[in-house]
Amino acid sequence: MTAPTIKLPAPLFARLSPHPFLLRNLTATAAAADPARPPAARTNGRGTNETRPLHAKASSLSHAHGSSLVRLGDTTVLCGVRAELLPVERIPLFRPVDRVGDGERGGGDGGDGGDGAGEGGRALLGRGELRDYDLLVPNIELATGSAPQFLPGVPPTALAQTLSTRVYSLLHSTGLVGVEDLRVWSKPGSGEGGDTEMEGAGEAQEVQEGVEEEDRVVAYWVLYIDLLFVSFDGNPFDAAWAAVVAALRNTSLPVARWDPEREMVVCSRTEKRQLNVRGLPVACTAAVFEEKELGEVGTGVVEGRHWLLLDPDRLEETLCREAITMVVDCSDGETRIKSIEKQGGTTIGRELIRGFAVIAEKRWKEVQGAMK
Amino acid sequence: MTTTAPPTLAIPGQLLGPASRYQPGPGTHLHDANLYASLLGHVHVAQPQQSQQQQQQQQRRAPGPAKRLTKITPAPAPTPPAELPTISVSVAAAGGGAGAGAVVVGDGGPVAGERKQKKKREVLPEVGNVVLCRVVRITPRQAVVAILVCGDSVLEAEWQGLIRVQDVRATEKDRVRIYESFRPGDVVRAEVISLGDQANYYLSTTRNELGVVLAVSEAGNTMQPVSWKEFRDPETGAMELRKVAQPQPQ
Amino acid sequence: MADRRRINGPAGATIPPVFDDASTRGPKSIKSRSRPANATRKMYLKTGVTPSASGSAYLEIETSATPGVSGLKLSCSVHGPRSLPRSAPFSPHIVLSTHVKYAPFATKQRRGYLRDPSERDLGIHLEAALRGAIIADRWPKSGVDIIISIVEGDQDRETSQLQGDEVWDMMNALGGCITVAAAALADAGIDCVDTVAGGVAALVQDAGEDSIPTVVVDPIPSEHEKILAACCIAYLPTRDEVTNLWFRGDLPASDIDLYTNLVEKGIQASKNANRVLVGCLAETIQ
Repeated sequence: MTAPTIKLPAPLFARLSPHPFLLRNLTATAAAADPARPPAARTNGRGTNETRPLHAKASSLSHAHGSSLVRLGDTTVLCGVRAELLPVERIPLFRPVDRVGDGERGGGDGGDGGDGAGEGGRALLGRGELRDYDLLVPNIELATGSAPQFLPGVPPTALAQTLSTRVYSLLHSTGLVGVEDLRVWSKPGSGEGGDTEMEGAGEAQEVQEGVEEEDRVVAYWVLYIDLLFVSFDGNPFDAAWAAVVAALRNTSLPVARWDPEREMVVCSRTEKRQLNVRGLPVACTAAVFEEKELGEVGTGVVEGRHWLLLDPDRLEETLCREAITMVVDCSDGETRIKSIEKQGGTTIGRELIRGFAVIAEKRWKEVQGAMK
Repeated sequence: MTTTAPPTLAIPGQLLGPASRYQPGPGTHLHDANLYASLLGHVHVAQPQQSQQQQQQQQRRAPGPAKRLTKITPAPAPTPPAELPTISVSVAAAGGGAGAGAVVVGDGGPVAGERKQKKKREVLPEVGNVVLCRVVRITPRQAVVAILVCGDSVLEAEWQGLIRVQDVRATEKDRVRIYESFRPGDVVRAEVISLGDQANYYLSTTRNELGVVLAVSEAGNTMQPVSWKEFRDPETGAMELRKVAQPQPQ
Repeated sequence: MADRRRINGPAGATIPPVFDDASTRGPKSIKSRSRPANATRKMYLKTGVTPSASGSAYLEIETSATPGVSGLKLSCSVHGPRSLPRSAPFSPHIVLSTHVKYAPFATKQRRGYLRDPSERDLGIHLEAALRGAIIADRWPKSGVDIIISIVEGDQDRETSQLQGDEVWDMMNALGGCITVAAAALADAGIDCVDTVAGGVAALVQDAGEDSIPTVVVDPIPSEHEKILAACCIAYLPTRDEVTNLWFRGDLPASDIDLYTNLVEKGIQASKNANRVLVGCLAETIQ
């Protein structure tokens, strides 16, 4: 550009015309003759492929059954998992769980965590229950003054609703939580040795009303997963998802049993069981920044250059219309793509997505380190 | 009164000194003939500009290693008979360590010379301030703008302003058309002429150096000013009409 | 009515877990107060937790020695001064709006996302406490939003449901809210005449119905057998002014001394909180 443009100090420039400001930052470093080490390319001082370090802290709350605090740069999310009981009488269209599932459950409990054979079948079966009875309830609250645009006293914004729904569907599609951990059984037979140690001594009191010989599910645990944004600086989904995973890994439910005398489910105050969380899916988001700013007079096809900005911050998110989120899980040793979401724009094609898997894999390793 | 030097750092409610020794500046308030801080920040004492002698006297009279000259805010025009130094509290540590040399003479504009610090206190546009704003929408009678920068400080919030058709330029006021002066998206330098109504500040661009400073053409390119009323798109060569701000010598 | 903008979970209502030993325990197992009557709990205050806000602060009141009792955790962010909404009438001074919300996981019972009356009540008391401290006419035509999330309430998890407990918890919550909001306001650079801090004092009966009640500061409901009355005071130390006084309970009108004693203890608690506040602010500017 040779134009005799007016000179502005950086903060003024950023405020007045953020798009050219970011563009100038990105192009300036491209021209810089320093190939040895890539200089800071973005307005926030990061390289295009540089993420903010993620910090996760588990069990910071005492009233929740599981909780986590995740910090991603200046984005801070607090997640609390709260379990409540849903008796089966309150479930419309409840289908009793058949004995097959029951038998498998017994085996699973014996091994406790050793997910062996029959995993796939069980997971499939469980997913039906999880979804049909709506046992996972994630909600995201942005209106905590976490950023100037999110003020309380109004209904949840479109962004908050979208984020909640994305977390909800990802929770179901990844099968992070198995339904067998959420079932509460009545075992009048009390024959199984494996269960007496778990379910306490009050079991021996017998059935009053007769025909209940079979073990049956009497209630389900419902997990209320509440996410509170303490501070918001872009990339809410990655932070929220990491918080959900960290909180679920931290969750332990009290051991519950059916009390036939009081006809209700009672929980042990001392005994707790850790929730089994399968795998470690990690979300990785990038935004696409295009050279041409698309105003009202957008020229349709964009031929300019573009940059993939990993882990975008608040300013960058407002300037990008296209974004990709990939959820990967490498905990089995190989990289599994759990979900790909792409919004807006036409820049990201097949090659870019393929290349992005490598980036997401790298991110997974970083997050895995932080989760420990 | 004991002559103790004011503290370097102040917390709201902290006593700064008796009102007989200082004039209240920004970030302070007067209560019971004493000056107290009303902000969290660094204390600055500015000597009155005139009467150097008196200033030196006062310096001698009030010795204190903590006192540093970092900023001079001129006293209001009708100066009280006794020339008292102005004491103020600002959020920024203006100048930092090398503050003694950096004397900024304020010209009524809000908080000059604190550019470096991470976080700034929000300022309000005041009458007489030169602001930078973006045109939000136009009607035949006025242009609605969002004020983004006030003086040298970037505003956190967006304050709404109005440039009415009679405030666009000084000459041929009756022939001004808003759509030949501003377009939505333009960045305009303007002066605050009134606090306005409940929602809007009233702005004016009548002076030569005021008007559109940044404009994007219909094709989406940043344009260059070519005359007092025209911008040109460097790529398509198309001309567009604006109330152009005279480029300021840098 | 279901809120369609949120994920509501199963159609049938869920019930919080009932513990088997609930009946075997006494109605209230009293852990005696571990501090002297005039000592407040330790407080941790920090500013700048929400970088995207104009000002912010975080307050944590130390968990009492007994496990299971959670300490109060508050996060406050201040946005503004900002322009008022277009519909708002002209205001020559700053318009304060306060908002206090419990997080869903803050208390024994899961809280909903909509504000309930007690949360609104807290917001109104907070506004009154702060209004007396802010120099409002420095900011014409502008508004400031003060938002407090109660991340964790001051509640004992071990004790079972107690009647009237919530009321006393609100007192402690309000005291914390006032202190944390004052820190966030100072961080945001909004003119205040003084640093306002909250303090709570209560009249408690520790040894049976007929014992002589004593006045304590910073009460934890689970540490006392019965709380007769409590008051929460917002106090400006250098001005020696009370900006808000909230009194609840049952006190004979004849005994004025008891009442003034309670207020004095509340002021003392507020002064303790103010010391922490001033220390935190001094740290902020350095």
